[in-house]
Amino acid sequence: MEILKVCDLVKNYGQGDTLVKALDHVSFTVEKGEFVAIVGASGSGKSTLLHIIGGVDRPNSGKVFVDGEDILKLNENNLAIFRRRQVGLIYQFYNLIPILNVKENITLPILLDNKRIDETYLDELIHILGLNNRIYHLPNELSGGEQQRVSIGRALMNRSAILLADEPTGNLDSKNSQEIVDLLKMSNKKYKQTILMITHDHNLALSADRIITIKDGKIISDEKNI
Amino acid sequence: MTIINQLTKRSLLKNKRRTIVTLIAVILTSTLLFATGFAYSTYKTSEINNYQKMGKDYDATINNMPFSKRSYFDNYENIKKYEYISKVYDTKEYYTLNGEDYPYSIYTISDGIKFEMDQGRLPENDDEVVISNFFDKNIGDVLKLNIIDKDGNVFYKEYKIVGIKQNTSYIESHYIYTKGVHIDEVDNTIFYIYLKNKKKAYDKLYTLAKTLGLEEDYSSGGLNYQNMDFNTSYLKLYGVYQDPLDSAVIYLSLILILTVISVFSSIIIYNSFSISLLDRIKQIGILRSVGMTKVQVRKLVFKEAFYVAVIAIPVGFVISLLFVTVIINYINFLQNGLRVFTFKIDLSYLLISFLFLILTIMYSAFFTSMRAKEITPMEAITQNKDIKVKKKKREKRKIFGIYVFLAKANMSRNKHKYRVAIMGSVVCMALFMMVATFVNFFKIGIDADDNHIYARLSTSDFTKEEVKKDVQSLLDLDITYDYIITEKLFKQVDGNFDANYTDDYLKQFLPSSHPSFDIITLDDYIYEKIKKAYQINDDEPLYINNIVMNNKNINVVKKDSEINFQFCDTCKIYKLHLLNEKPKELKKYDFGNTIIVNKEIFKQILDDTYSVDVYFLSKNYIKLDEMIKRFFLESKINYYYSNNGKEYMASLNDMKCLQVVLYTIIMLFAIITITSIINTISTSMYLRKREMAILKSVGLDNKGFNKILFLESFIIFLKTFIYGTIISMIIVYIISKIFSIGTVKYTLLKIFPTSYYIVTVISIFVIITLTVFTQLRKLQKDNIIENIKKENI
Repeated sequence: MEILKVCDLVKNYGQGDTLVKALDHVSFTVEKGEFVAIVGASGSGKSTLLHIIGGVDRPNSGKVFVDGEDILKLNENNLAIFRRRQVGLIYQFYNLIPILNVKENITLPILLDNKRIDETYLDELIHILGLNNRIYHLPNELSGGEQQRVSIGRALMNRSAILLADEPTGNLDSKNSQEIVDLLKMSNKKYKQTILMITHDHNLALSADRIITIKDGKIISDEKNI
Repeated sequence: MTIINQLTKRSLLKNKRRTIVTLIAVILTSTLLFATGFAYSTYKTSEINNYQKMGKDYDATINNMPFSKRSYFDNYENIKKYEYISKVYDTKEYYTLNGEDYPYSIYTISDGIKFEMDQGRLPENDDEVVISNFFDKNIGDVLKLNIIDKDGNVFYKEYKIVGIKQNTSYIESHYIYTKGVHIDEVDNTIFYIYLKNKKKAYDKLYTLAKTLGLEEDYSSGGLNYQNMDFNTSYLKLYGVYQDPLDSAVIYLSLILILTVISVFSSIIIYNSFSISLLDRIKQIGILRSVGMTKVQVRKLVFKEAFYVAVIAIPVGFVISLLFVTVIINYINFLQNGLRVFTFKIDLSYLLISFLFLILTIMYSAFFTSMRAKEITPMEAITQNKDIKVKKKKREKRKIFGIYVFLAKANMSRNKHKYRVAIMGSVVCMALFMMVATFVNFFKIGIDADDNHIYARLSTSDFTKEEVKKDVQSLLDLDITYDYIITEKLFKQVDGNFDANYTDDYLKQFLPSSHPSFDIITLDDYIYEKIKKAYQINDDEPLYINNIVMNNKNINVVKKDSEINFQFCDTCKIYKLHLLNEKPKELKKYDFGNTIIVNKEIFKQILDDTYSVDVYFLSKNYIKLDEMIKRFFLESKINYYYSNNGKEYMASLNDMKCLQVVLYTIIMLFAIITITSIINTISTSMYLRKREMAILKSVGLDNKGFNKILFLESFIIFLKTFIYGTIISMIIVYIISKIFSIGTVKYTLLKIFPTSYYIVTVISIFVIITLTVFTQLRKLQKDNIIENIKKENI
């Protein structure tokens, strides 16, 4: 079943002499439960692609369908709700709210929705993420690896249709990087979570089911990782 | 508790310094708005109380009316009540004042009449009287008088003195007031009119005047009626003005002040909220990326405003209570019993202040929330919204050097943060200048008054030499610091004046083609000095073509007029020398429409209007008054005496009080200004910790760092100075225009508070530089790596 469909995405920055084509007519689809790695050099356009899919940036042209819905047709309010319910974003620099503790950061999308927290699921997530002893700690009291695990927890908490990870291990050492990738793989297997992970590390990309390579805003290869 | 509440509360608690500064801004604004409400209600109520206490709470008086006309008042539906004082008898006994004998005048008063009493009470029947404090009598003494009634019959009556009233004028010093005398046909009655409702009071009083058949009188400018005096100062307290222009001046200035306070306060509060927002841009961006809607973002800002308001408003309320109480006590101390202000909380004014405050906070929060909702997740992710590549930078770097380039680049990169800092500083500067302009404006009022304070003795029965000799014995040089003696005639002259009147003069008077003048002659040495100063060789008359009207000096006739006139049909025709500026020798004395002639001409035109006038100037008007009163008891000359010292003291006290209030407001604004500037700049600097750390990490030394920051603070100052000066000029110009309505004109230069401006500019420079460098010292002590890392959390 197709969970993500990207059609002919174009995104330019600047104009005239300073025009940069970040995405140049990019199209691809992702099946539900797939773990896709997007690789490419710095400045190739992979982060831009992820931001557009996550509904935090808009393209110049093209379409993005998530679970059958064209997210680019959504108004600001519905797009915010889409981000809250349909996607989970994991950033290289974690982007946690410094004044909220671990538990609050993880449950933030649910709290914003004014919904009841599924305590069983939360406990399970915290256990899986290895944050049992850290739930009332603030982000600045955690290590980089722990912060990134909180960030993964926040992305998984709302059982989103798609999890978008932008260089999730870019700021971590190799041990922590491996732990994070293992966690992502586990969530992919255990919760059938669709994952789109950006990385420039080919070794990490090999953990995914499929590898899309981007260069100068264009997809230059799209291969299954067997 | 919702996540919005939690985020807001924790954010406020985490950033304690910033929260405190925001609280200070709102507390001071609350204090200012509540204090304005309290001050207004206190002033209004105290003034009305003072009027009531003095028995001057009537709306108009009608003088010299037959008592029988009271039926008109009974039949006029707009009159609530009327009171009266009616002259009923003279006496055979005389009262001697300065060698002149006057019969005692006995007046009967109605029930509601009140006097300013020195001691005792008002009479309750026609055997009791109140006398003025000029009499050498005490309460309980009995006046034994032979009364002459209106038919000329004489009868004997004894009156018991039950009260002693303050004397309002020397003319009234021999008046005796009793009560309950039966009167039907008395011509000389003063009626005190109290209207049911003050709304459109003047229209109602005009109708009454017409009904009574009073003649219209335009001699003092606007519409008046002969024998009817409006209690204008009392009616003003109810917002009722005779001249719509007066009302426009008051209301326009009030509206301007309220609007400006509100707008500027809201900009300062907005500034505080904006700083708070700047601090949270990344946080809001993250929240937006995980699904916070724009509405929720706006709620975040409003929640913060709510929490701040909940804490700041009660604190501001309490401070304003204390503040107004202290100010009122100080003003009462300054007034020294002339007026008493009683602190009054009027619920309606309190509510207006409160609503005003809520609105100010609400629209401050509203504009901040509008900015907040535009924060995109991308701002949190990339933090590069302000970066714009411009080709010309490289050239600039070559011209101005790397430090100027870095400073400019930093400012460009943090454009929004600096905009907030500059805007805050400009607003504060403009606000401060506005208040300073008001202080300056009222100071000009005081200075203008200072030239026209004098006491005058006047007599028509004695020669100048006799008066001079008499006055020599009066002089106490410790009290009197200057005086002149003039001989004066009051004459109508025939000349081509009417064709030469200035517009300013025409606006005030309907001049006659045969105007009347004071014709004076001065001591020779003064006369010669004036002639010399104006390079006048002949002895032809000099005209002081400069009179004071509404605190403004105006020319009566055009400066280059050629006026020929004569004192009588058969008299010689003279060409008038115009003194367009008041001669230095006469500057401090308040002359009216005056022609100065030499002694020969004066002798030729001498008539029975002759009088000798002595003008005294003194710095201590009350002592001067006491000196002249003592002199009266000894002198054999009968003088008419006037001294505007008491009124001057009252107005001087009022001015002082006003200055106290304005200086206090200036002080409040100065605190707001300083905290706001420190807050904006230090937050801007704090938010750039990482950037500074990166610059240091690539080898920027402390000297270079100082250079960049000095340049940055100088650019902030320069922009503040330029924008602040332009806006201040506009504000001062508007104020000068508003206060120039009517005949009084104030130029921008005259009321521009130059000294405050210089102090403000220097202060802003010092505050900005000190804040930047204090913050810098903190940053220099910080660990580079920690700061670089911090931004990533």
